[in-house]
Amino acid sequence: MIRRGSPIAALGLALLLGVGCERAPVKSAVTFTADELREIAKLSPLPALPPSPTNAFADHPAAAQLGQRLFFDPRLSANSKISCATCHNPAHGFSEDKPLSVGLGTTERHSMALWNMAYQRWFFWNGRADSLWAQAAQPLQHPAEMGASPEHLRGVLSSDPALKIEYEALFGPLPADAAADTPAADRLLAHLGKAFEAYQRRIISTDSPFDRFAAALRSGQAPDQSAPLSESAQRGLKLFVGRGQCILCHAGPTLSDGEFHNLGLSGPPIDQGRFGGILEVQADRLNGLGDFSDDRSPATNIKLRYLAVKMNHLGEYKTPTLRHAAQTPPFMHDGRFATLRDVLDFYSELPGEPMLGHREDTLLPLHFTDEEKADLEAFIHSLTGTPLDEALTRPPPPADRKPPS
Amino acid sequence: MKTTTRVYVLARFSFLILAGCEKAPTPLPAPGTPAAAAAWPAKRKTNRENFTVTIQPTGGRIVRNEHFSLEVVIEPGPGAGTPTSIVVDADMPSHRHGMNTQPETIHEGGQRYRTNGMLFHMAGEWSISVAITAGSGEERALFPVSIE
Repeated sequence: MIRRGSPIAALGLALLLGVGCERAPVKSAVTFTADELREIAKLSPLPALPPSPTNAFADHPAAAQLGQRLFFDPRLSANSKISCATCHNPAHGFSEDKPLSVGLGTTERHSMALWNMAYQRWFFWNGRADSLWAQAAQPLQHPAEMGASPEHLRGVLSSDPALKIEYEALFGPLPADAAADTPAADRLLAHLGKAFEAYQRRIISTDSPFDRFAAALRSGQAPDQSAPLSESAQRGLKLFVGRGQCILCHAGPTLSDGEFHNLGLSGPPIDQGRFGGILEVQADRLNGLGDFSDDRSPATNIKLRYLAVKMNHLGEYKTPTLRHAAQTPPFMHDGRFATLRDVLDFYSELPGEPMLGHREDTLLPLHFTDEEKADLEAFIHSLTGTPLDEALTRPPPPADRKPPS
Repeated sequence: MKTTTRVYVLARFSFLILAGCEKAPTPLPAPGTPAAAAAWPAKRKTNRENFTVTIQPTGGRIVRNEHFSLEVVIEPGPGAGTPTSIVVDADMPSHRHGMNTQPETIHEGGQRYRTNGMLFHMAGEWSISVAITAGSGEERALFPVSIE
């Protein structure tokens, strides 16, 4: 067995770096151990988009167009002034600059960035939805967000002939009535959610400087000189996969394990965190096992079927992706940290006591130097990919459809 | 039994030695490359040595953050009695937390059981526990598993 730091591993690294050969395979400013290289390989590239079997419209182009149109439409809110894009602003990495989101009122959460949501297992900071489509139904109705009743949503769709045609071409006739908590209302919310999901599956981060660096390492070539990873960012990467062990939670190509952790953030508890989220997702009528799911099979919904309710979930919140994180300050579930440096200061010293539950035992003060914090910041900046196609950052052009004469 | 043997690393190094310097080596493994060959099936006696337990993940390996099932075979020793309850669970002792799932073990007949709903969401050292209740009381077998 090869253990970390063993002579055999060192020999392997020497071989990997081509010691004794004329051609050095990789010209990077920082030397990575074999273990570090293996961890780096796990962070890139993003795999193919995973399927969303509970949404038959997830990859339907017309559903994506409708979802995009609705995403930017303030008429969906009770006061016709708030759209999804108000809090998930494309110009701010599909998040916003306020610590707590403000819709019709002030919420208790920072707006979660929408990059690469299609890869996630749970949604919201406490995971109280098990799909992007089920997630969408909640902010539409939340009194502090868009505050819309299902009947209001039905009214918006039925009063706009072009929108009504787009909707009905996908999902069939609008209900005649959508009184809250009726199957007709839930079906309408599910359909709207499925269109939102189809759009959000297009908000995918690609081709970041880190991805290009990792690809270059993988190919054995020198990193692309047109977008090299700075020496500082490489040092940050080495810390990220090494001493910092950030990869324990910010794991895999999304830089998130998609699960929930208690960082020990101090302050008065605002809710139960993941513990409450589990109870809510199990009770959600729009979950994958519910009547409006397009695949209710046990195999598809294995995550719901075996979901555990444990006390250690108190005070846990979801690991956010770090892709495009540099675009989306402030940070944490309540937006308490204004800058990435503030976040790193927290991880460096872990001040205070948890607001609820207990801090993960894996978290220990790392006492980063200022230079190390700057290096980690540089690495996180390198996770920002190419901008999304501009056509996806605004309402689509009017649909080329006319009401039947 | 320790399941991380990292055989592929040795294999890779051997290849590099044999290949000499004709081709630049590849520092990063390809995406999706299994981190290590696991030593499955794994077999252990329970702490009171009344049962021998063999486990194997369906598909032959455990991937971090992917649900998996575990095939379990329980062989009673002389006089051990018939198990009345089998509970399979796992935790990360150094992290002091378990899985975020509640697995379910079903009896498939004879000495064979199947545990569904397992998920190791973090890399590191896990311990799979198979707890057996029989006429002689409860005993368990622990299987250390390293997840990359």
